[in-house]
Amino acid sequence: MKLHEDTEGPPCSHMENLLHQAADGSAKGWKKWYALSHAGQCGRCGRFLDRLRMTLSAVQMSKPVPDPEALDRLKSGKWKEETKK
Amino acid sequence: MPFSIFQGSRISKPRFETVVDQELPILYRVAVRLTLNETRAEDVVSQTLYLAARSWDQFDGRHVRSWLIQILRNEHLGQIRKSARQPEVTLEEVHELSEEGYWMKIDQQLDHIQVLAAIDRLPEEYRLAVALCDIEGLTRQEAAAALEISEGTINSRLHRGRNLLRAQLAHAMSEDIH
Repeated sequence: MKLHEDTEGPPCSHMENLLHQAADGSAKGWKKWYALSHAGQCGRCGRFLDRLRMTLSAVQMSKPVPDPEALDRLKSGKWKEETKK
Repeated sequence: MPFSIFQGSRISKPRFETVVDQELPILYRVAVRLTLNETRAEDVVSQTLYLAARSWDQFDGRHVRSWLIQILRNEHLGQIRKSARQPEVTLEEVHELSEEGYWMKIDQQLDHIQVLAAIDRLPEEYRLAVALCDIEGLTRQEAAAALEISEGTINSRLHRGRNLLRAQLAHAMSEDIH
């Protein structure tokens, strides 16, 4: 049974923090249970959670690989002399 | 000896070279997100490593990643002050979209360059929160320590940044579709 209208819009204001924690996996125990239970019942929060997860997944997959030449230059930079003192 | 006990405390502190090997890719990525310029990022990381190496003996060894990012950010701010130059960031107008189709497309088609470009369009404080927590995987406590702000502040910056990013990605996809 859906307790809210299934429409686009912001999540319930008291749920936003918990939904962020549920999306990034930092919600544990009762917080996780409560967030997921609410999102399962509430169309707006459910959609917000789905899209936030999708966004975070896209962000995590886009983690750039640093330029190896830049890393090599940095590994042999002036800091090395400080560690020899 | 690869590890040493630091000044009689119970925390074993790795050699600085070991820390550099582990943390360098993260520092570099954070610096690129911070400066929006690879050359400047390299300068900032180079100076960060130099400053960190100089004070390594005084450092207690706790939360090394947060400590290094804190030095990196301070160095970045110092360089901006020195050159009186601000990174040019413009936040494009973002639109919240309601059509389900856009989100289906986002899931299937977003390419990494678009995502990074959207992150780089975020204002610096939100961009940094997203880069530290969502790209580099720092906990909120670690990110708060690195940025020298409270956990409440990192939470609000992270949430605001994610919401802006979510809206920007939807907007980017809507332009691709049309």
